[in-house]
Amino acid sequence: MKSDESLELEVGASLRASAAAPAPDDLVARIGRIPAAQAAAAGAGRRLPVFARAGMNLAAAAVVVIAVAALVVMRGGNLPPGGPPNASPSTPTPGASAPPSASSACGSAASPNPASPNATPEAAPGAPVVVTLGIYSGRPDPAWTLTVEQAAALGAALAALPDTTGTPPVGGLGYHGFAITGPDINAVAYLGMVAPPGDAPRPMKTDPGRSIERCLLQLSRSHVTPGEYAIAEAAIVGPPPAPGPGASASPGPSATPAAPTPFLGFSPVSVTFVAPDDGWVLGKGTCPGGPCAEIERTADGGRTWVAGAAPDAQIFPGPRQDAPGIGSLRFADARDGWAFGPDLWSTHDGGVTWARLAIPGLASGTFVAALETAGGTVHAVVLDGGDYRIASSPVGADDFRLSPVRVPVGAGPVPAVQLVLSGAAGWLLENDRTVVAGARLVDGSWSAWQPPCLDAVGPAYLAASGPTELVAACDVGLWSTPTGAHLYVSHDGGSTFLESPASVPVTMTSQLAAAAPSVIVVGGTDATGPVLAATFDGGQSWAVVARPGAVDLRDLGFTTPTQGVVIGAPGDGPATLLMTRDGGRTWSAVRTTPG
Amino acid sequence: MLWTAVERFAGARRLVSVTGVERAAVVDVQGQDLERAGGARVGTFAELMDRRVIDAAYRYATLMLGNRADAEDATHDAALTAWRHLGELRDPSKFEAWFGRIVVNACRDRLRARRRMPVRIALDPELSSPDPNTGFAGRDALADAIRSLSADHREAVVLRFYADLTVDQIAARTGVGAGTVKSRLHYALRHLRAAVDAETEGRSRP
Repeated sequence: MKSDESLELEVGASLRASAAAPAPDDLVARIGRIPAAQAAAAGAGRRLPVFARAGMNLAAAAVVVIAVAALVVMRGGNLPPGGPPNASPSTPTPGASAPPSASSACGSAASPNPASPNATPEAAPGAPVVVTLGIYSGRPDPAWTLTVEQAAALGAALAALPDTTGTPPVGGLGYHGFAITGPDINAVAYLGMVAPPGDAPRPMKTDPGRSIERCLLQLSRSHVTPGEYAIAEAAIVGPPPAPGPGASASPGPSATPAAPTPFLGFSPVSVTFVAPDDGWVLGKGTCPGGPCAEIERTADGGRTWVAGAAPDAQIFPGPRQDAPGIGSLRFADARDGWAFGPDLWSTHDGGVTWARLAIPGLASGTFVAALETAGGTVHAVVLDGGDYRIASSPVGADDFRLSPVRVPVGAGPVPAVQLVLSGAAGWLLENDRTVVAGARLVDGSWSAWQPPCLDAVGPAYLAASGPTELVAACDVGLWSTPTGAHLYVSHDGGSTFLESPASVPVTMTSQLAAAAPSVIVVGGTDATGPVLAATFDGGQSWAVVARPGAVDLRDLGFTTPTQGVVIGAPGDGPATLLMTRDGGRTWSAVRTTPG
Repeated sequence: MLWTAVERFAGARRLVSVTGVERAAVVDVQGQDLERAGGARVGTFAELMDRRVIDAAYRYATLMLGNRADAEDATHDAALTAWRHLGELRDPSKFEAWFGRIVVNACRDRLRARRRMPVRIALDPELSSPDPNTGFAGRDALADAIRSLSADHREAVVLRFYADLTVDQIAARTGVGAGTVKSRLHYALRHLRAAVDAETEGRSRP
């Protein structure tokens, strides 16, 4: 006979075990698309019920879509009020008599089929079909409304595809399919399958030629940015042709192997070097119980790696705020290192043993958003209530003390904080879609600092090559009228900045590093996808130096003026460590596995 | 401990985001053009409906419905309902409790629909297989017993011992009196105790 208390504890434990799985990513993505889909529907003049029917019959949905189109067409071509704003030039003429087929989803109209009993006239006019290109995580995906004719053609093409039952793949980072939502359809076209969202086996359509995705890709052209289009195009029809000779000034892009065949089961998420030869990579490894943190160490500049001990923690790329675990790694020297984001772990024996730390004095536990170390001190940016604060400790001791400076978390959806150190100088910059606030380390203490690009309506990224040499790359107008990335240079430690004349050849920045005052590397995306771009003359001219083929770039930085690192994570498959040994001119993939 | 801290943090974050300017955006959500209202509105819904809120809803739905497909649908239904009625939410800081009620109702709707359409729904194999990490005598019997509770009793048990709500909070969330919640918990626990004790005795025989 168990006591009441132990039974209650067991009930709780049993329930937690049964509900251990978090919501699938595609469900989260689908919920994230609700505002776009609903607003599009509202824009079409009525509120639209969007059904989430796991077992829906796509063929029936297609018939309804066709009937919807037919009804509208039969009323003399009246488009819904406020209807689709962007009729693609390739929109087929209503009433074209070519029979629909999968291969011509974009090139022929549906034959009207007004006899369907499934069409409910009340719901029919104005109920649009919204297509969302799944390409981001953490910010809204581009979405647009199909014209009635496009919806009809799509419905016909779907109806013509063979039925099957199965569990379609779910995409990860990068391109992960087109979501099609409308009054009678809720499906994702991805990897040649068209299926309702979910992760259980279910009825679906197979589309081995990926005709639906190709069609939607074609239709997307006027609704997505060139960079977004390029990423989707590369995933659906293969990589775009290599840029011709002369496309970029010397040095030319280094040819990064398209598939560097990393060791199965290890995917680097963070990298740190303390000297040209001495570095560590934190990655996601494969343990008997599932993914786990692994750390590899090199003593010869990345040529060979030895597995070391790692914190017993969940691992994911980059600091997160919604789950316990770690996503980043920094070392100060051969002995002292930290694994963090949001948890905090330290080692003082070169990674042989790790201990979980709590920073005293924080109201809501230890949530590390950023951490860097320089000059014998480690600084951690932590969350305390609604503020970022900075806790600092000597590298050899776990003695974190909080600075009184508070940087309020911005009002936007995704606060992100950067910490940049150079010798005894340091800077903190918070973006929350746009630049929000900053702090600066002078003479060992932090104080409020006005960061650059506060009025840029876009985020800023910082890098330093010396205590007074600070640069910022700002995506000017990213949230209003984008004018691309601009470089701002400070020679007085961030008190004043001057804009560099040449604009940076990326449309959106994600990483910035400075090897020297004149050598600056930007990670970001341009019209073709992710790129590394560099200047070797302090921002007078820029060249694309690598196209890593990765969607996500992390930990771009220089160990010495000539040696630098960056991790490139593709949309699917393991990430790759890239290194430069010539000051950012060429970058090549480095194997990060033992042996 | 850690999770408590996570939740406290997330709560703080959300309060920050719904004070001041954004608060107006939270409440005034109907009839706006996405192009112009744009970022603020989408960001606001995404802000309230963050990953943690979705996970909590999905996990609750998994426990109530017993399979992931239904849990996904119920969670999506609830999110859609929340979006449509966001304008009725007076105090954005109460979003979580408000959305919790919507999730409870979405799961009830699914259970009702299931009764109307008596399809045998296989339990998700991953959900029903014994957990190799627990090796806990009676755990399987307990999980089975929880699944065999009536919907009302399971609802009370999940909200009390999984979501850690108080009796009063459960009453508010499920729309029944506190006395009813207490009696449901009492009878549900008695049922679970019987199942576990039977199992334990069965196993302790040589």
